[in-house]
Amino acid sequence: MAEPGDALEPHEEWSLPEYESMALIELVNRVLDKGVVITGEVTISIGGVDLVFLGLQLILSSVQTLERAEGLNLRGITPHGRSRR
Amino acid sequence: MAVYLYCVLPADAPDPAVSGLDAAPVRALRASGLTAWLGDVPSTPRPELDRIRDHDRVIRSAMAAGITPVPIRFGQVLADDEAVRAHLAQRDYARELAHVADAVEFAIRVIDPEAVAEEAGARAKPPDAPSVAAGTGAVAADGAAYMRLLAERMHHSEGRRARALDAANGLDRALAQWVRDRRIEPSERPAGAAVAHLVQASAAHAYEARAKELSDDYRPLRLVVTGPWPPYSFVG
Repeated sequence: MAEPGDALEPHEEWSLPEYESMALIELVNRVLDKGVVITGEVTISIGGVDLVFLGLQLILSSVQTLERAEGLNLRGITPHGRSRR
Repeated sequence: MAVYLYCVLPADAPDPAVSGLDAAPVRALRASGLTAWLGDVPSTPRPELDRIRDHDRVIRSAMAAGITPVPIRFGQVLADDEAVRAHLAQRDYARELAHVADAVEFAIRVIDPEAVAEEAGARAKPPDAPSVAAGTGAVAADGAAYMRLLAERMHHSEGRRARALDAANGLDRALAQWVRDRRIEPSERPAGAAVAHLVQASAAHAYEARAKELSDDYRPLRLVVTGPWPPYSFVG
């Protein structure tokens, strides 16, 4: 079984302190309708260990609010518009 | 052009004094005893993080002015002002405004660090992936071990979900004196549970202080309290 520590590889995405990470997640969850999720990853730091957990999938359950799915070229939560996956 | 809806406020709400999506102006429209804060947009905007922040900033500016609006989720576009008037007449915003009046939302995430760490590990590399170098027989044994591990993980995660939800419900009871309304649900990412509380604005400090004090009671689970938020979770 992988140790949490050694399993983590360097990631280029945004790394934020815990509160800021969580505030960002809560913001996106609230402002966007449920089911509409932005792509990108946020690294959260818990107990001093950076843990990537937010590999958000692009899920679109509420098409009405967004009108057209093909418009969802989400550049995500990465700081400089770098998108992963 | 189309009309983008940010939030709905009482009739006597002031005009907005903030810019909206992509720095575009925000204006007020009054009808049906309500005020809507709107912007004019060329088409339905795509949800990008900057725009999500713009959207939230407009709604927060109402909160900062001492009015709790009914926040609209990102991306609500209507054809024109006439369509907005029809929309205001149709949905019972007065009831929703009364429900959230003088209140703010707080979020508490119950995070299970062990589950988060395991998930991060699983994502970085598969658990004990069968080793080709170990030879054919060893691969089969490793394959069985792999399946066992997957099953164990599933069992683990069920127990963890229950533990996080128990904590969320415990928190809810401990904070109940300040809570006007609540939403409690399991959270996948981060693994744990999500609590949303609608709290009287004047009690926000007392609520927040108590919520943070309680954090120690739930170790090894971690609690992250964010807010105050506009009452996104308590409308619609």
